[in-house]
Amino acid sequence: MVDVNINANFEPEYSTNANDVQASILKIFDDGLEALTSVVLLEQKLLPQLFKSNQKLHLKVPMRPKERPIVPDPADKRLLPDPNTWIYEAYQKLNSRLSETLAPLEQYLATLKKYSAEFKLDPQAIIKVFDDEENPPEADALKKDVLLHQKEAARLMKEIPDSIVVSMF
Amino acid sequence: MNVGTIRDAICQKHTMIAEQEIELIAKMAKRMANSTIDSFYKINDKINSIPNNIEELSQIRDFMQSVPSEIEKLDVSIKQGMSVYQILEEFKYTFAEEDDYDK
Repeated sequence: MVDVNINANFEPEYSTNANDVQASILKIFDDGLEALTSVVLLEQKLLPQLFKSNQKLHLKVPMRPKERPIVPDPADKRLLPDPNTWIYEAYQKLNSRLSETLAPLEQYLATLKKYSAEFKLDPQAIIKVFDDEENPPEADALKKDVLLHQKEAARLMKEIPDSIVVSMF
Repeated sequence: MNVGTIRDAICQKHTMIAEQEIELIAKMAKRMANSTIDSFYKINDKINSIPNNIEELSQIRDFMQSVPSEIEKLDVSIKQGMSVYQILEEFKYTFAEEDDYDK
């Protein structure tokens, strides 16, 4: 679960950077392809007599092109489309869908900015102002302030949920 | 996503301020009670003091005549102090046994 914390500048932030989540999911995609390259060819295991060499053969795995493969001219029959185009497109689709899921995260964080006064609230500083023996505050004024802070605590407790689902998080 | 952490953090700030303000009211009440008690002790000491001469005896007698008006003044302080204790009772504040006795 991702936590929402208050940073040193008294602003809300996620415990995990949303872009890191995107990067780690994309890495899983690449790691999956990478892992497939270590899968030993099943035929070599089951029918070793058909293979001259004892050198381990691995599964032929499509590789993700770094850039979009060039689509060959359909009129030129000698050229064939890149067989890894679908991997490139699947990766790009995943990437763009993940980007779409990150936008609501920023929007949700923006809704928490209305509590910036609370984030900056310094109880020690407030008490220090009141704790003046030479010029003590009125007891009734303190009572009003106590009631105000108790009310605010209750309001915030009611207003902010324990957890919330934003986008896919 | 867990938002409860920041909710609890900011609620805790308000709760902490409220609690410390109640402590300040309690401190104020204790100070007022001690001041009133001191005034009564001073009156008591003066009345119980042993005169060394006739002038001092006369001074004590004069002072004794002013005691009702002094107590009237202290009665105002007692009422003010009790109104502060009343606020603390509204917040269900409990004093240590010794401080409760002062009240």
